[in-house]
Amino acid sequence: MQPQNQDGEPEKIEKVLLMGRMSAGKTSMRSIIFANYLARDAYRITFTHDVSRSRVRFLGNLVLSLWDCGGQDLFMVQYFQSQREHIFKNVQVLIYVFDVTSKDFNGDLQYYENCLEALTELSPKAKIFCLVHKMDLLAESQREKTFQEKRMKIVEKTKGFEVDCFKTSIWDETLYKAWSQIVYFLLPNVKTLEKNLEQFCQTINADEVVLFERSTFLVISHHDAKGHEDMHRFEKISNIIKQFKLSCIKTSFQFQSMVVRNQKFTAFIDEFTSSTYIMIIVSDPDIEQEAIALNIKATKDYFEGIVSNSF
Amino acid sequence: MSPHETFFLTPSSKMEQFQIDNNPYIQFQIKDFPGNQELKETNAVDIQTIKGCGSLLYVIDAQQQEYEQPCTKLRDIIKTCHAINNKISYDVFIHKVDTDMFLLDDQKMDCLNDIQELMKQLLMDYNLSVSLSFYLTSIYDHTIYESLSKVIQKLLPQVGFISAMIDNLISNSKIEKAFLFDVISKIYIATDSNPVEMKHYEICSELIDVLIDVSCIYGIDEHAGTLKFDKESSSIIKLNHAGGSEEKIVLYLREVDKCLALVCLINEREFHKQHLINYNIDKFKEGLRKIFEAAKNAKKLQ
Repeated sequence: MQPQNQDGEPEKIEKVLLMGRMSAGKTSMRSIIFANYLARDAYRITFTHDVSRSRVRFLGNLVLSLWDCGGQDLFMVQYFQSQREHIFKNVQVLIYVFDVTSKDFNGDLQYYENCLEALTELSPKAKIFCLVHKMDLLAESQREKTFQEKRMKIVEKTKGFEVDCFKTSIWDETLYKAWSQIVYFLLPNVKTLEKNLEQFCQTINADEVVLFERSTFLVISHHDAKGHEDMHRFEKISNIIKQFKLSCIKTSFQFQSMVVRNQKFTAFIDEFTSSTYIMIIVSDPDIEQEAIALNIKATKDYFEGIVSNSF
Repeated sequence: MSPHETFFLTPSSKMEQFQIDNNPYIQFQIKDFPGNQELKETNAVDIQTIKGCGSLLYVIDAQQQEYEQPCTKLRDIIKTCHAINNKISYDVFIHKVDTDMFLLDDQKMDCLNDIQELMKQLLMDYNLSVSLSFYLTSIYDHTIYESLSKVIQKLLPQVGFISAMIDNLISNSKIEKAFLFDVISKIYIATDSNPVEMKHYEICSELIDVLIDVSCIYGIDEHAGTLKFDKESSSIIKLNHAGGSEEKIVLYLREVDKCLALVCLINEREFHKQHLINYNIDKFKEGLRKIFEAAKNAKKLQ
């Protein structure tokens, strides 16, 4: 039987494994993306005992079941033996975290291989994402080179699966970038959404339209009509809004919407469908703010339909 | 610089100077003295510094529970300075009240009282009658900005007039609270005469961060490096009260002068008259310019 949510609608549950050796930073990144942690508070996090499971409702009926697997050697041994089936069965996504500063990279790779082996047997269709984490601890000039070296080794070890590698750090937008890609992969209906956004963007004569997931502010879809140069802009925006939302909580307010402008642009960020926020960038000074607000309102229901019928 | 980066700062070995002139009308100089340097009344440079000094800011590490030594040092400094220039205002930052020693507000107040009492004693022994202001500060929250704002406000003669103007503006536009911010330092130059709630100041200064950060992404033109805060800079943020109340708050930011922004907290019910509020802010802007002009002319006459 398919699991259902409170309203009796079917839910789609995706099992996501978060693995890597101890102190690689798994729980820190999970807390920052899904639990509204600030990067600087992450030092409070202690090691994860066994497996910590959490459910994240994502876009209406899509639920991520996130298995944060503690990386102590003792637990790792158990995962591959007594809990093997329990852990590695029905996995849609494996996110494996490498600590870039690790002294024992070969040991890390060994564990990674063990994971793949178990997946080949129990979830051969899983998608693999590797995050080379804690990049901030390397000198700027070293980062790309070190990352490519590690990536080569990881790809070499990955047989029978597709793997995407990202370099990440909790201190900048790279973490958001990586997770947005992961989420993007999980959304089946992304193409339709993109096409509709494109049309919406053209109709209202905007420079850019971006859709964010409501609670995490991860980017779901976007359309760029002008060709903006900054590749990391969405992740930056996610970070900015999230920081602001946190300050709101501290001061007992709740963020609802914003308009920011100067001579060059006007940016609207507003609640959109029940699970998303929308951002619209306009540079044409003749477009009235009220018109944009009205257009957002008018298309809400239509997009609500697309987003919730994603599967 | 973020608070966490300060970890890598090395101790100052010599006096450093900084010029703050984000706005042509609000300019001052900061002289950062290393902790072990003493001001001497025999040193001509020191005398010059003291003569030109408006505010003397003394930082005491609250974590060291022994306050006798830093306080004695401050007394000596005051003694030296007071003899040369009796117009200096003295501000004491009781700093680093963010550690585990100060989890409770009571602990902070105890520390403040101890130091206040001690200073009073020390100054009385020397028969020095100067007024001191004390602030509890930390770089991990907004207290440092708030306290520094108050220090700066004491140095600007126009603040009283600007505050009166803000008072006028908010009562006529049904604004709840308004701050005049320097957008670069996030210090507020003036506010209305209602008491300042820390959370209002915090959220307003966060709004400035958002405005600048977003403008840095979308608001720059071909000549990169030009000012992202321009004449058209403005922002409207709508907030709900947590606690389920129906009332909504609008944060409204408008540029009013170079690097100066007026940030208002307005009840959403009143915000539909945005054109009126805008008109009033335009008038405020005009007034502000006149005050600054007058101050400039007065300086010339001196």
